[in-house]
Amino acid sequence: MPYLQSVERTKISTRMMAGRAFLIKTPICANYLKVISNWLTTGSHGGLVYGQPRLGKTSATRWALKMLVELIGNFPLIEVPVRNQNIASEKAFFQHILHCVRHRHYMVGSAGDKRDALNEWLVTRAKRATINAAVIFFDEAQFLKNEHYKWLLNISNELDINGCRLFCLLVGQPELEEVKTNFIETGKEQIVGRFMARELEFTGISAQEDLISALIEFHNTIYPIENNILFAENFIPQAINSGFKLNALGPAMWSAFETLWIASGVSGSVVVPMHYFTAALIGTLNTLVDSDGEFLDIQQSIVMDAVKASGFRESLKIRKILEMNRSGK
Amino acid sequence: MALLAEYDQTSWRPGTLRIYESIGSIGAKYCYLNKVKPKEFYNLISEFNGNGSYIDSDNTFDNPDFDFAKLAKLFEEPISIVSKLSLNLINDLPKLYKQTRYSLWGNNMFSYCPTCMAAGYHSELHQIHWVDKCFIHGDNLVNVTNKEKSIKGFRNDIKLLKPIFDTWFLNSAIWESAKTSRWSLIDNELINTQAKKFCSALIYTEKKLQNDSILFGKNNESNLLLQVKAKNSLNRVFKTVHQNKAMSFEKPLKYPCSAEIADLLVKIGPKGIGHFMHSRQITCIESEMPIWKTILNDLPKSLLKKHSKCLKLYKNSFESIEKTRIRWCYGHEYVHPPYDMSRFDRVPCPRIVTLNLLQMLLNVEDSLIPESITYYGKCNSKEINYSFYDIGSLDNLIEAGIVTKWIGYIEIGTHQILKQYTPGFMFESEVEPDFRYINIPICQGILTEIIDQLLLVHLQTWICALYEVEMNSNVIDSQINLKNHFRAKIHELSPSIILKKTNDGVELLIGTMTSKRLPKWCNSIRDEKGHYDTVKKRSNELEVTFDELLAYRMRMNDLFQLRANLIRSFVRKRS
Ligand SMILES: [Zn+2]
Ligand SMILES: [Zn+2]
Repeated sequence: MPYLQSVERTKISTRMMAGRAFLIKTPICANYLKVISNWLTTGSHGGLVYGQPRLGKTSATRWALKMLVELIGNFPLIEVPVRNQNIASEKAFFQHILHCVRHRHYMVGSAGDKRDALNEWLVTRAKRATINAAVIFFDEAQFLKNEHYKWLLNISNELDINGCRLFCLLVGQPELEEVKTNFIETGKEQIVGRFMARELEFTGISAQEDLISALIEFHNTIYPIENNILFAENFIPQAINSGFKLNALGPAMWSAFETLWIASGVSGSVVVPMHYFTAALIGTLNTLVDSDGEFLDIQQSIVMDAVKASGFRESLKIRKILEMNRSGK
Repeated sequence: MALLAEYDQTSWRPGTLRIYESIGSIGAKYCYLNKVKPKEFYNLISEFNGNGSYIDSDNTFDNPDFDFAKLAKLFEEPISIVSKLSLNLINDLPKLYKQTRYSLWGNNMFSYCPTCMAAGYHSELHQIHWVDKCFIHGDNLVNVTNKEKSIKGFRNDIKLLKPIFDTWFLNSAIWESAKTSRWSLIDNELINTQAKKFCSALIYTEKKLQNDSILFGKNNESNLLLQVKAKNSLNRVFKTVHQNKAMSFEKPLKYPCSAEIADLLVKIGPKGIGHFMHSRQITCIESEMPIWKTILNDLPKSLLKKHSKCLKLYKNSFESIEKTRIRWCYGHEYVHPPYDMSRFDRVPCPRIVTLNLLQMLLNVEDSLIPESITYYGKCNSKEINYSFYDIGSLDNLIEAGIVTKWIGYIEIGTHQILKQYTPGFMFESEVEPDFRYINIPICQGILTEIIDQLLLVHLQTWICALYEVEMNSNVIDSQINLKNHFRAKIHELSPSIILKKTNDGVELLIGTMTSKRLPKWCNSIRDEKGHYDTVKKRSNELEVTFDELLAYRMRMNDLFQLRANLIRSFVRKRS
């Protein structure tokens, strides 16, 4: 039933783009995993991870944390999105975190009650974790304000008293760096010392080999698991069954990204955020659906169109404007 | 497929759940850890209750539909612990359960062991109403009234949550580690060992009980103890937890008879035995003179020894009260005399109190049969007829010669020494008839022997209860309703009896809570002269109080009449 298949493909594409389908291990991710693992096992209380938008920070963090469980054992983890949330008061802040925990009673009680309930939840689980710590992953952490750090400090102290540790993974845009500088300048070293002592700049794919290894990962992924088929089989089953591999797209894709980068006039070497890479891949696969067959003829123009449609070009334009603004000052 | 966000995360400290822990204990900890009100815990529990199919238990965890697996998952506790929250082990003992109804205090009591509470533990096994020692430590249990109201849709044990929460988390002194992040708790192994001992005594008894006996007695606790004793399953644990430690257990009384008769006797059932005890009491003729009858006949005499003057005083004061009432109430027919019965109970001499209570005993309607089997709705004042629908086969009993029919008149009220001092009696003729016509089956032969023995045991209990009430001056001088107190005393001291088939007939096993020796009534008073003076003084006081109250009521009545007349004349003038 071709219609149903196309619905299914749309679903998969959407899920991929929202970062909800599966996570792909790229060389950047592998490095990221190594760094976080090091932070967590050496007793830190937090770390900054910053980078341009659309680099795939959220997905990469999710992937790294998931892999971390296999490396160092289970630990309690809360993912807290910070953008557009009403978290101005202490009560609202802790309620939001409890909500993210999926805590049954996140709605009830005073600010103190909610803080205590969160403490209890964290302590009980941190104590049983091999790393003796609980991790809160704040996504878009550049939106956190002074008070939020103060409240987190309280929780963190509470865990220390109970012989375990709170680790705040602050993931956000480059403004996070400015927040840190600001804290240092205004004498809030305590917060910096606690949560921001470690930092990592997150980048995108910056070499053809990295792009190819990401494609290999994509190729080997089985999705959806219940159907037991390779991810690309959803789009080009005949070609895949005849031995086509996604990494064959690598050189064409890299050259397309490179071309756009150079054309935009942005300084430095090419960096491709994960998001645009995924979008370009899915765009390409969707185009290839109709020409699926034993021998797949892939034209450079198909890949280039997909890369253009990924939004990479627009992101470079914004980057260029920002660059000019900075140098203008 | 809709994607439903499930808020299934809660705070619990895995490894802290204890076996047989009460839902109140768990709920208190849950509310503390999650910083929520009890209502949130109730809602949580309602999700585990399933269809909540009806069971006759106060215990939430005895619900067969309760989802223990889900609870285990939520709390991350091993299923081996979670499945041991239920008391089903001892709830499924139909023979014991039917006869002893060892229910939980549930409704209005919070019962706990201080040592267990100090170790963060409370169990439903502390709530069983006949248990007054901790099954783990042997400590005396503390009983506190629980004022919490029942919660619709939940079993009563959930009412324990608030008192337990308050004990642990409001008064910090009880369980030291309550508010720390690491609770020190009682050891699960210890609970397991002790609970096993306790439960196996009950289970062993249940196994040994057969359908070849009748058990009767008003006091369920004593009944249970007798059953356990009779089956030799009384172990140390059971002995210490039981409150009625003073039960004496006599050698069985044997009544040889044929197997057929034995069968018939056991089939009469406790209700039938009750009927025969009653009918024997009202139809026993003087010439038979069984021991219980002799004791009963002699009782008023020995009670009046050294107190006949008191009775005379009481009589005089009572008469003067009645005369005042009759004289002054003439023309005041709307005045209700202050017949405050509690005032009459608290008459000046404790012995008069006893006589009053004795009179209550000897009312035909209130005679020597277990309360649970009376159904006096069926008698009117002129006639007593029983329905024998539940005695088994009456014809078979008559054919076997152990029952016969008795038709005729019985005299009533013969023992009512103080009957003439009942307010209103003196000047009214024929409050009740002196004779009643009855047509009832009565016992014969071997059944009579058994019934006489039962009546004797019950009478001994009654006399002891009378004596204990009279000796307890605190009770007599207090505002407690003496009749209720006396009934409660009878209940407490009630004997337990098992009528059981044997190889060569039947036997009676009797467990009594009183001494076999009857009290010596005379010894209770030393200074006879002083006693009389006190009684005289108090009699006068009683009269004065009565007069004052009566006068007050009449005055109020006059005022009322005056006002009514005024209104009437006013209305007349207007029209
Ligand atoms: Zn105890
Ligand atoms: Zn006296």
